[in-house]
Amino acid sequence: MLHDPRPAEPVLRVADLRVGYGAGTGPPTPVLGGVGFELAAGEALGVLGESGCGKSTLCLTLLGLLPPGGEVTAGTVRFEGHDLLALPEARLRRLRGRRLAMIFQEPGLALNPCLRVGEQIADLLVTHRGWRRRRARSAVLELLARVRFADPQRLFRAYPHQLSGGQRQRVVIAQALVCEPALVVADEPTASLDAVTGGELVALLRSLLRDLGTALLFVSHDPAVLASLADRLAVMYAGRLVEVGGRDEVLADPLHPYARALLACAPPAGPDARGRRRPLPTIPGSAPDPAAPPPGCAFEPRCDDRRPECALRPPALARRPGDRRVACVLYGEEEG
Amino acid sequence: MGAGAAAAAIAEGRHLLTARGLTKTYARGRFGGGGGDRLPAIRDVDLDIESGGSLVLVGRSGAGKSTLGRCLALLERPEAGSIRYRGVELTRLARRELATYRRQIQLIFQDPGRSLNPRFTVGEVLEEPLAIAGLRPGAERRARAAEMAANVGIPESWLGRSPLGLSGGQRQRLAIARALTIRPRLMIFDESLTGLDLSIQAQTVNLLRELQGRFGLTFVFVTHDLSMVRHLANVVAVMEMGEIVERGPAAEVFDAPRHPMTRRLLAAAARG
Repeated sequence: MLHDPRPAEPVLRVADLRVGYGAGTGPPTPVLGGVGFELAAGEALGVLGESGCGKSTLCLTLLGLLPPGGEVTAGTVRFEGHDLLALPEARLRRLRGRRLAMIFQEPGLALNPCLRVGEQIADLLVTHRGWRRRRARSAVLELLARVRFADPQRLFRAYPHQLSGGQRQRVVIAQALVCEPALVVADEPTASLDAVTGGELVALLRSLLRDLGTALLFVSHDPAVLASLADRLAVMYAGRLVEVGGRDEVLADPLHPYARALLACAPPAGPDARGRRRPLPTIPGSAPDPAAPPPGCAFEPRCDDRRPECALRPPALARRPGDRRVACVLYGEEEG
Repeated sequence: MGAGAAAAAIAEGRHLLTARGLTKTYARGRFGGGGGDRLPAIRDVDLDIESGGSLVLVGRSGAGKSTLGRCLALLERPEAGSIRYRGVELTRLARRELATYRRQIQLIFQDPGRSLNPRFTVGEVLEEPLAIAGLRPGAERRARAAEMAANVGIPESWLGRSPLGLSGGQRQRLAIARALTIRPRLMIFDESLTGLDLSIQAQTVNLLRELQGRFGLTFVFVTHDLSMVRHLANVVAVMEMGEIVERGPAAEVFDAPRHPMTRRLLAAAARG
């Protein structure tokens, strides 16, 4: 393939996305406070964050599946030339499952318990591509073999309850990829699986996405999972991205004080148990109440490196050498 | 006394609990296609739990580790084998006699949220085990509940609140405090760190180490994920298909795993 000197149009471009949850009266409680990033074709971005940081809300917003009460208050989401936030529901529905697919935490909830799993996957090809059922069935059998089912015929006829958690999640992957989407959004798909099965699932997902050239947005609280599948990593705290960069750079040398503190909680890699009598590093305090966010940097109250200016206003993501962006006054504040 | 019995007696001195030949099977479900036969969950398992130590039972889903944990916690009766706890054979005790030992052996579940009564306040959750143990309501019971709350870092101001408002890590600490109110010797944690945020897992590891030292507790951790639990382990037993396939001191097993399953579990817990 010829090298194209112009940067390709990203598959997904999110800018200043703000989302809140309303309780009827008064302004909505902010959950996403201005999130922006781009995703190139075929690229895998891992979003690392803890409970309540807004990572699941980010996924739901991109898919147009915010629950009642959820409201986008600002920002844009461009996906393959569409303005997703302005798209009528009928057109969004035609994109979802075809160009934009999702994998959730609990595979049991994504599958219809009354339908054979093969037919559920074939339905997508019939609906989105207008294929005849016979053609759809044979394509699904091929795909079931690619997600490593030894006996695709038998799997095709199985009902979800007859499968193990790992098998169900592979069915969900097949369902997500059957229409060869441009982007898959995955919210902790390995959370309900054991560590070995989860690792195998992540490796399988990664290799299928590479073959198809599909981009991935994968959110998780577990750096070990993200380390094995992301090209780039974004660290999220209190509804904002605080650091974005290449996976190896962020894991080896996190710059933002929160990213540093969070990754320090993770035990060292490799089978070494010698340092185990020292207390593990933790992060003192807790995340701010979304209903009463601090005026400055959200991590300022817990930060060891805080300065007086940190409490004034939240720092923007500023560009750093390499492909790194950090939202912290320690690293300069010019807009990247 | 035969050589085997003598060895067992010596083992019992160091060990709080020794299990021999534990076997437990489950009936195959109607849709499993088995038709009446039984599926072994654990098969002929021997286990020694050292007093004051931390044993990690690790394996994939379905390896039998939770069943073994439930047998040790006296929630399941094994079909064969013996469980000796401080010299007493527990498998032959009647239900009523078991009650004393159930107090000394506490099981903590993965999602304590589901085991907390939403109609209780945090204080009532902590007082309930004391009430079951026969302590009448009053200042002493309240004081003991408040003391345990303080031990796990639950502020006194929460005692009047509902447990529904607590985060996952806070609920886990409440479950630990509740188990501690009746002064157990052995605590069995079934995936208690799994699914918690990283910083909360690290806090919980530190808290458990501190409590173990302070109260002389013996721990058993049942898990599929070694990444954090390995910071607590001093003995590891690896399970596969209902059997223990490798066991030894944690440092040895982690540094030089012999069984392929041990290697896979360690690889899954490593970063990158």
